[in-house]
Amino acid sequence: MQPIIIEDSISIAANSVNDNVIVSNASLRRYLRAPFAAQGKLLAVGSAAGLRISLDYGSKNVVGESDLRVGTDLQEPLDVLSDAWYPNEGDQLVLRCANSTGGALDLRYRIMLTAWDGDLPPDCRVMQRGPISVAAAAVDVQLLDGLRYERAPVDSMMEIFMTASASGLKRQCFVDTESIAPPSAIPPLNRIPQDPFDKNVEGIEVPADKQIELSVSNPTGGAVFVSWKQKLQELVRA
Amino acid sequence: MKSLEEVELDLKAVTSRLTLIDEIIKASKLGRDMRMVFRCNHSGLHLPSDYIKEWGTLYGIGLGPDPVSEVLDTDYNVDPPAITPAIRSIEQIMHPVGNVRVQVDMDLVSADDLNLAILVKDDPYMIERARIVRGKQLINPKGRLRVMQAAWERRA
Repeated sequence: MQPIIIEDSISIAANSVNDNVIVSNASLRRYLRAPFAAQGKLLAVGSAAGLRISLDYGSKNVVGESDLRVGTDLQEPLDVLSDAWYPNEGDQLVLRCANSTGGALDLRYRIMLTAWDGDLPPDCRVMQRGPISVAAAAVDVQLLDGLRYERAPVDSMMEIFMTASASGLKRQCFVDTESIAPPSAIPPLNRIPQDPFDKNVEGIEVPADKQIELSVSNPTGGAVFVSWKQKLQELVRA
Repeated sequence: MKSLEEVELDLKAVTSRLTLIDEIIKASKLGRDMRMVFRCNHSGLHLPSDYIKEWGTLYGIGLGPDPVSEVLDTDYNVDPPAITPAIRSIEQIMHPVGNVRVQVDMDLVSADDLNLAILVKDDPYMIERARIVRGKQLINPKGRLRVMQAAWERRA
């Protein structure tokens, strides 16, 4: 069976939320529900900083509220937010987008659905944020504070990608009380992390409902921005 | 206003040719106040002299490792968002804007000709910049904003 590719560029009004950008384009309405069991892939960029998207299928979230790379063209694989989510036939796709700025911004996205035979595998849940300012000589003790995937919903394997706008930042990662990554430097690449190049932490087992702590310290004399991406690969399909 | 020493430091961040400083001194002896700036090659707007030196710390956050212009421009190929019940003000509606991301060049301009761009650090939520760009969209013949403005007024 041939894959289905939905691609669109849509403007999001200033200080507004579009609850499902797919239905905003009448010609894409018929793809609102997955036409077959599939492997999904989502790519997205924003025309300037300030857009935040999330993706659900059925009643399940697979991309938490995530910031996007600033750009006008979709580059694969750099702009892939998630390529391992598996909707069943008939599951509704909901791509939500919020614009927190005072100007209208352009969201460009592509969703690819490739037919999947047999049992659907576990999903990968993703969240991406940045740039987040860390003040001079300060510590942000929990970048994931209050966010959707601060705790893994099911047993998962975790990967963390991080970049900073300038040198000097150090990050630490804990799962529950266990130290996973001691204070280590974050590469000063001044961009949203790119998968797989900016992977810092990988192969971490995260039991269901255990807290994930990602902290950043800035020992420098100026504010530095950090961006991060978290991938939680479910070990069992939830 | 930056001192000559500060401008020299900004200049040293991008080149070892410091003849620009000599020109600033020469002009000041003639009573002309000259400033070193970077010029956005798309809009012609000026960017501060430390734009490249402070790239990634004060300017261009998240725009990648290579300095480019962070000035906003309009994408007239994409229609403005639809007027839905969620829209509270017509000011929310405009063609989408984005960073132009073009080359910036060093330049020497007189203080009278200085036309500094409003940068993200001074307008993080794009309030001021969106107002300016929206004004330009309203008079641009390629834009659809006037039609939508009229539709909004009829609706009101």
